[in-house]
Amino acid sequence: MASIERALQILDKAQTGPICTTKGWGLKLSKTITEKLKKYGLEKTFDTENPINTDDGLADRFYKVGYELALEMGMFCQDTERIIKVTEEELADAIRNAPSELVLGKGKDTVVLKSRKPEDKLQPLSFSPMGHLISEDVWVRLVQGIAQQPEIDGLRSPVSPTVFGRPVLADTPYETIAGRYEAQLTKEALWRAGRTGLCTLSVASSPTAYGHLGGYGIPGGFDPESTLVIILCPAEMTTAYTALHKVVHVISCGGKTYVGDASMIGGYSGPPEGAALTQIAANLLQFAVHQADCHGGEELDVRYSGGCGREGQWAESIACQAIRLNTHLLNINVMNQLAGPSTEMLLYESAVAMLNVSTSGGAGYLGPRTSGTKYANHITPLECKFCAEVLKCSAGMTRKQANEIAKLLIPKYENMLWDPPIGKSFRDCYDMNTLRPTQEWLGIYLKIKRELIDLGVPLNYS
Amino acid sequence: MSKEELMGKLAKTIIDGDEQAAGAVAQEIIAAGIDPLEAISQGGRKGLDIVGERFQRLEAFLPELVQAGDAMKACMAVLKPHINQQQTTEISQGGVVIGTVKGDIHTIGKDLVATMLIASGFEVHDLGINVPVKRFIEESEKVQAKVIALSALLTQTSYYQKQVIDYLRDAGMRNRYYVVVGGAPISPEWATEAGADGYARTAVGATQLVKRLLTEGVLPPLSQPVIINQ
Repeated sequence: MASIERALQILDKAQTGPICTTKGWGLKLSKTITEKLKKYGLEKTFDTENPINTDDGLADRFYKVGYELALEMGMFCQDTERIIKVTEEELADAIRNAPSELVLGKGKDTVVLKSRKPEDKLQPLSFSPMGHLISEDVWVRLVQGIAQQPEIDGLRSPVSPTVFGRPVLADTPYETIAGRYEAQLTKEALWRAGRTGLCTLSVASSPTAYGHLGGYGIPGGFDPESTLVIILCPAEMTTAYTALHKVVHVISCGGKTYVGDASMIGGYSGPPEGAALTQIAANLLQFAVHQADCHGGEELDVRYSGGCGREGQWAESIACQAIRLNTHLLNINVMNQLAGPSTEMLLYESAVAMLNVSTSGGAGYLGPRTSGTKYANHITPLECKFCAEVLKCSAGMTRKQANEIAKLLIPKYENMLWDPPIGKSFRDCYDMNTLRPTQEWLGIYLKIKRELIDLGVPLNYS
Repeated sequence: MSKEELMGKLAKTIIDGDEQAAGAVAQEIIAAGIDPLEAISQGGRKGLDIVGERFQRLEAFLPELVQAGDAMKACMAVLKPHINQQQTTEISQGGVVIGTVKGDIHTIGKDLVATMLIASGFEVHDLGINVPVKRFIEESEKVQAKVIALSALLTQTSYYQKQVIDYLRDAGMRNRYYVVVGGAPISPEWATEAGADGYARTAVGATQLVKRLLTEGVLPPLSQPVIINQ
């Protein structure tokens, strides 16, 4: 159970821990990872031919080293430029006391997020979408369209760039208003979709703490009972007061948290093996430092800011399996697709990512991140539905099966990762009155589904 | 040691990210009477290019880029006093002030671009994260930068990119700097709307972008931003 007492201990550590500059932290992290990969024989274990790991022994080895990395490094606090060190006892307690299931949502929309193991037959949950920019004029319609997909178990509201027509400037009162505004719009969309009890993952309009404080746990705001608060850290194994503000506020409101971070392939984490290690370490530390109820990890290849290449998928599979095989910790994975709506590439990227999450033991998936969330209004309900369908139906498949399919699908898009197709906007591939996709977009969806069925993914063709 | 051997040795110190050795080899180059400009292009930058290529193949990572950049700085500190004013103008790629805008605490993308720019010979002034609008301008004035590079990882913080540009325009300073924007949610459309001079999707692209702006001779502000989308 998260407590203010523990939060105060962490805040104190952020004030008194070992001093380290931001640049020094990155270099120290990199050096430590390199040494550990070498010492434990984990260098060059990335298998370019097999993007989804099938070796439990390898995942276990990564877990042990990731655990050691968490203890040795701790978590860096950007604001104080000090390291929050965690003792072995604190880490073990945090893991032991973390929940293995979370009840989310209310009434008929209640779902239970449960810890899974690799190749588990229990279906993971699907939360959609993640991090999109949607203009005010279509915001409610789009969110309604997503929420009314029965396969969706929870909603991450998109970000509106404006509040009552004014730009939402971060760190200003506009952001504070935007938090409350997001709650209002979300309620409207969920009411229209007939899913008023759906779990929300909020507050999206919260780049600093203001949006969160303005929109969560206040009258008319997001309700702590049915909200899983998303807290995103600035980098792997790094925190900031922005994140810690949100943590203490959620604890005060008696709420639940999902704390996320991205491990950067090519960044300070180095190769895919290093990024897998940092995700494991960061995952464990989120429970000890932020008292998370659930972790959200993501592997991002900094060369093209995506996660669906071979390196990203492999690192994700290792990190996810390592944690799932060795703990009961809850996670909701994030994977960054780059192609836009109404493209085959988006569905190929999504299929690989969903097969990976599901067979590697992820409890849930948060996404898609259509078009890398780069283009306004470039997300539609159809790919949210597609991701949920593939994610759920592949529960019980083996990693070997998933890997064989991924090997056939990745070559269809990997050459386009550096220059992915933008696709079409919500307006251009949906009928705004009926909330139905255009024949073109529906045709692409059905074509890829047929391909997946032919490859052995147990989807329903409809 | 022959000139070619010394060039190879200098390139190796850059690849290894060895600041001390880079400075020492640069001293040897001066003592041997080799043109420092040649040493920079045939030794230092060659080493940086190799590290950049390795990064693209995931054989080198951000820390190696940072260390190579630091080694290049150490080499330049020795070579620069031996270059005359005209040559200094030739080799100077220009100053770039870079930072992650206000309200945004993401650092990796900005670090990567800053490092790539250093590795390409630019004099980079990194203001860090959560940088207020006026701070960019004050620093650019102070160091007489040619380019302001604004990073944002969040839509709500990207507005501060436009605020920097608007401030420059309203203060009558827009023609003093090229302003380039980047970050995960940043698109060519936003670059146009914000009134930026350029946008690049990747860190490698950002370097190409800045080089292009400074070599094409079109003065800021550009009527349309230069877009490097790959």
